[in-house]
Amino acid sequence: MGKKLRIGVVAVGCAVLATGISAVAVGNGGAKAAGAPTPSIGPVSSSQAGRLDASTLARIQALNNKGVGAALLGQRLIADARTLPTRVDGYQLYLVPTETGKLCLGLGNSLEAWFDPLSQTHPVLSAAVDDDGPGGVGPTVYGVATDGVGSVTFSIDGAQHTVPVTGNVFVFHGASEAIFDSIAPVSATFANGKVQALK
Amino acid sequence: MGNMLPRYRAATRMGHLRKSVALVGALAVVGIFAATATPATTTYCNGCTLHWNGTPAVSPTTEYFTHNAVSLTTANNWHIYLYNVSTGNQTCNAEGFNTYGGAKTCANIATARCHLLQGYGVSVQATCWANF
Repeated sequence: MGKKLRIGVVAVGCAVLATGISAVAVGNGGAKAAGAPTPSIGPVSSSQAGRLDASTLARIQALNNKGVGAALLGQRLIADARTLPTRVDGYQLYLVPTETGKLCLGLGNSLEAWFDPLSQTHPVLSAAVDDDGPGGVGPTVYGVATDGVGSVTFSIDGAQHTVPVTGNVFVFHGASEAIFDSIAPVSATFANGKVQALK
Repeated sequence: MGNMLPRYRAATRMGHLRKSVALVGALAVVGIFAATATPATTTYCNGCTLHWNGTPAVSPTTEYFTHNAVSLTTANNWHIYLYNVSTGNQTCNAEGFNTYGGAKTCANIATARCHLLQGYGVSVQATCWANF
C-alpha cells in the first residue's frame, strides 16, 4: 500500500515537473534574422526581428492566449515581432503587428499600447508609465519614431521638453513631482527640419 | 519486549513517512490547481462613454488587481491606473497617446480606473477591464 502510494506520488511529481519544463521550454518560434522593417510596422530601421527575451515573449503569448484586446487586434503576429536596440527602465521595447492591421508597442512585461502602424504621417508611437504614482520615481515617457525623426517634443506640467531620438527610440524621465495627467505629446521634428504636430 | 520497541519505532516511522508522502502529494495537487486557476475579471466600463473632461470609470470594488486594460473605438489619449480610496494612493499609471488602448501589468490593492486625458474635446466609447 505504502509502495503504491509512493509510486503514485512520484508519478504526480514527474507530471508536475514535466508541465513546468514544457512551460519554460516554449521557445521563440518566430525568430527571424534581422532585416528590413516590415510594411505592417513601418520604417523603423533600427528594429530587429526575432530578438524577444523570454519574459517579453511569455508576456505577448499570454496576452494572445487570454484574448487581451482581441476584439480590436485579433492575434498578435509574434513571428513578425521586432525589438528596438534601446531598453527603457530595463524593459525590452517591442513592436508586433496584429491580424487586424494594428501595431502594438510593448514595454517588456509592463505595458502594451495599441496603435495604427507607423508612417510618415503617423511618425511617432508614445506612451508613459509611473508605477509608484505621484512622488517617488517620476514618470517615464517613451516611444518609437520612424526613420528621419530627430526629436520629439512633450509637454509636462505646462513645460515643453524636446527629447532626441536615437535608434528610433526616445525616452524622457520626468521629475518626481510631475503630474502624470499633464503629459502630452506636442510635435515630432524630422532631420530635414520639418515639424509635425502630434495628437 | 526488548524486540518490540524497534519494530514499533519502525512501524511508526513508516506511518509518518506515508503521512508525509500523502501530504506532499496533496500539496502538489493544490499547487497545480492554484497555478492554473483563472483570475477573475471585472469589466468596469462595458461600452461606456469616456468623456474628455477626464471623469474616470471606476471598478465597483477594491481588489488586489494585477492587470488593468482599456480599449477604445477610436484612437485617443487615455490613462489607466489603480487608486486606493482609503489612502489616496495612485499607482500603476499608464498612458497611451493617440492609441486604441493598452494593457498594464502591475499589482496593488485598489480600485481600477480608466479615463481620457483632458482637453481633447471628444468623447469615446470604451471598454475597461481589470484582473484580480
